[in-house]
Amino acid sequence: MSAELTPREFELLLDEYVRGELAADRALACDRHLAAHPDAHRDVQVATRLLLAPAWRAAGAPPPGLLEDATIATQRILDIAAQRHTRRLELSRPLRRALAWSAAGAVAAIAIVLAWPDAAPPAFADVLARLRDVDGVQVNGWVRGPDGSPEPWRQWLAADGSFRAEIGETTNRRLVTWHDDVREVRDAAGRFYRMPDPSASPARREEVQATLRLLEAMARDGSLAATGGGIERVDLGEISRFTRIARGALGPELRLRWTIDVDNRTSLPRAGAIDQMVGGQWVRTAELAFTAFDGGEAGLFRQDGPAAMPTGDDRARLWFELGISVRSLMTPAVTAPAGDSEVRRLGAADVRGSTTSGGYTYHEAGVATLGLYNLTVDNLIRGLSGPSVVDNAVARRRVSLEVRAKDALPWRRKVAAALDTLGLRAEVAPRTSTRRRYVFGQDGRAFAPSRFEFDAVSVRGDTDGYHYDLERVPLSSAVEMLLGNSSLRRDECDTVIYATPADAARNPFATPVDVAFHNRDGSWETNLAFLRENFGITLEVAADTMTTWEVKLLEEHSADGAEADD
Amino acid sequence: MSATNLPTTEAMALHGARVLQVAWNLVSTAEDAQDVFQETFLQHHLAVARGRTIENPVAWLCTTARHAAFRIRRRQRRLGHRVPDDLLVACPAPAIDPQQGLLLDRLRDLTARLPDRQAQVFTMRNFEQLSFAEIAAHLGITEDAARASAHKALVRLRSQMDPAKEEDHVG
Repeated sequence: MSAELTPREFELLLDEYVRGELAADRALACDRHLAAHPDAHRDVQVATRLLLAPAWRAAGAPPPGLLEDATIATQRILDIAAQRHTRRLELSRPLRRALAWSAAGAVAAIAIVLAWPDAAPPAFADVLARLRDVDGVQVNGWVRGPDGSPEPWRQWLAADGSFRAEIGETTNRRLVTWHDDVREVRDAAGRFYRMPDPSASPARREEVQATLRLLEAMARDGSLAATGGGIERVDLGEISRFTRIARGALGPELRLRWTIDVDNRTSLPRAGAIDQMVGGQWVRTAELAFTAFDGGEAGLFRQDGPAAMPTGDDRARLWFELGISVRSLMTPAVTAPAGDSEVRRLGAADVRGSTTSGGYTYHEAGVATLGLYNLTVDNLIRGLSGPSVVDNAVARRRVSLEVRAKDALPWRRKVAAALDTLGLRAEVAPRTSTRRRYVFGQDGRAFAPSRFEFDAVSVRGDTDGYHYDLERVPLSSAVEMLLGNSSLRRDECDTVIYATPADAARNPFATPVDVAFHNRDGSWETNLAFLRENFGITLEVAADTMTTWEVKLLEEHSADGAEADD
Repeated sequence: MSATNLPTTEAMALHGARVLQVAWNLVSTAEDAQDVFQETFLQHHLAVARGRTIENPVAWLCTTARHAAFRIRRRQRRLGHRVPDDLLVACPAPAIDPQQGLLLDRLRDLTARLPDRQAQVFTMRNFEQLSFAEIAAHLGITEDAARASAHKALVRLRSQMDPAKEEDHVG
């Protein structure tokens, strides 16, 4: 370092200078630099205020007990991993969910926590912790079947979320199995159907909130505050009975009640029941006994034989069987709507006082419930799995109603009663649109892989364009970040495809790379030029014509195409 | 058993407090700190299981913890508080009050959004009060490289805390 500091050298010493950590000669050199460069005083002032701010030390030490809790929780996960030789310790978050799926009991625990998403007294948390250690769950009991009458029910749940459900007996016995994203249904007449059903996979369920950390917190001291329902516990000697009640999403009314009896000796559930509020009265919809906690026999979760794909009529007939899932462990049945669907108007009494608008959907035991309070009627179609709705005056009309429909029905049948109530009809028409495919290739040139050990992403849009700072991201991700964060409009690119030559020794798009790029004009063209120059990216844009369906909502008695004005 | 083969359970016993402090410096809640703690030691478990040699367990664990904390903060999309420069005036004694808490969260957010090397260096320098010699040894870089990263981070933070500029959001 020279006797007279260059601006660069001064920058390197600035931090230690403002903290008073420099040796005397270097501090003197900084003083001389400041004397010769008065404009640098501003840098010193800002650095002083920022680097010496007491906020850096405001965090203090972690609260008492946190280290012990964290250690216990982490050790528990490590123990599970060691015991089960866990195969998929994926480090992507949430890591704990991957571990949570490693035991059928954990899946059962997850299913139970879905019904009990809030904290519970310690004893119940012990139940969930204990369930994580079992290999399988079997329940026997009865449920209200599709016609509302009680019928026998047995369900097995396996480690990966596979299940088997036997409903009814003798001439009315049905069998439902699910494994590897495939659902199989054998109806009472022996007809056998097989269909893809990834929606039943527990790992893909967006609504799954439970993680092992939640279970840890509940097992610790029930420290999470119980909200939105409350859990009561009654000591009945050999068992503890826990009860939880769910209220409506928008209103104060009670909706469902779960009861679970836990063996105080084993901390495992013995029995459960579910009640539904109907017309101001609790109606029991299912009672289950937990009869076994082992893996079950081999071959339980699949059925053999030639199978057919269900038609629309088959799906309507088997709506109850198609609604069975891992969540049936705790909510195997609710009261079925009469006919295809039931509709009731919502009023001020159905919502909490401060609510001006809102909506909700539940999917429970094959029944979809959609509530719209002062929301536009196009939500009726979309909320019950219909296609997109044309924007018109009718679609923008606000409605307040609740629809309960058999979930497996086609959307037309699910919305029919509601449309009739509202005096509307739906016309479906094809719509031709252009889909633009962006096909990215790589010209084979070598490029530098990432030099970092960990991934990091920063994409910042500013008044001077876009700043991309990406470290150790797959090349495909880098392309998509530069594509998605630029001037390109959404409707100009529908599909992105990465084309890798069949003879390529490696997939260039999977290679981790680094990007440090400032795009001053924010345009996609500038980004593409950067990708071409640095990674040999090529782009072919292909346009396809495609046909989709859209719904037009009309007044019931209007002439074709005529719409009512608001 | 050599330090490079430290089982995760032992690493947790020896270095857990340090890792938790690193996490606590950077995240806002006990739950997030626990998440960082768990993720750090689970990554250690995986690395050891895969036969990887960890030369400096403390450095490795703390770096991993910082990464995990940065990821959490980046995922927690917040509308940043624009803090005027005059709130950064150094006080005679540290004061932990709501205003400092707000500023702390702002600093955490901005630090997490720095490029990774700058975030690591800046965190060690300002949250953990390490010298540049210690930072350089921790990260396996030169002292001047550490100083350069710290200065770049300072320039970025300064520009993002300038009330004359619009608030920015990481995409």
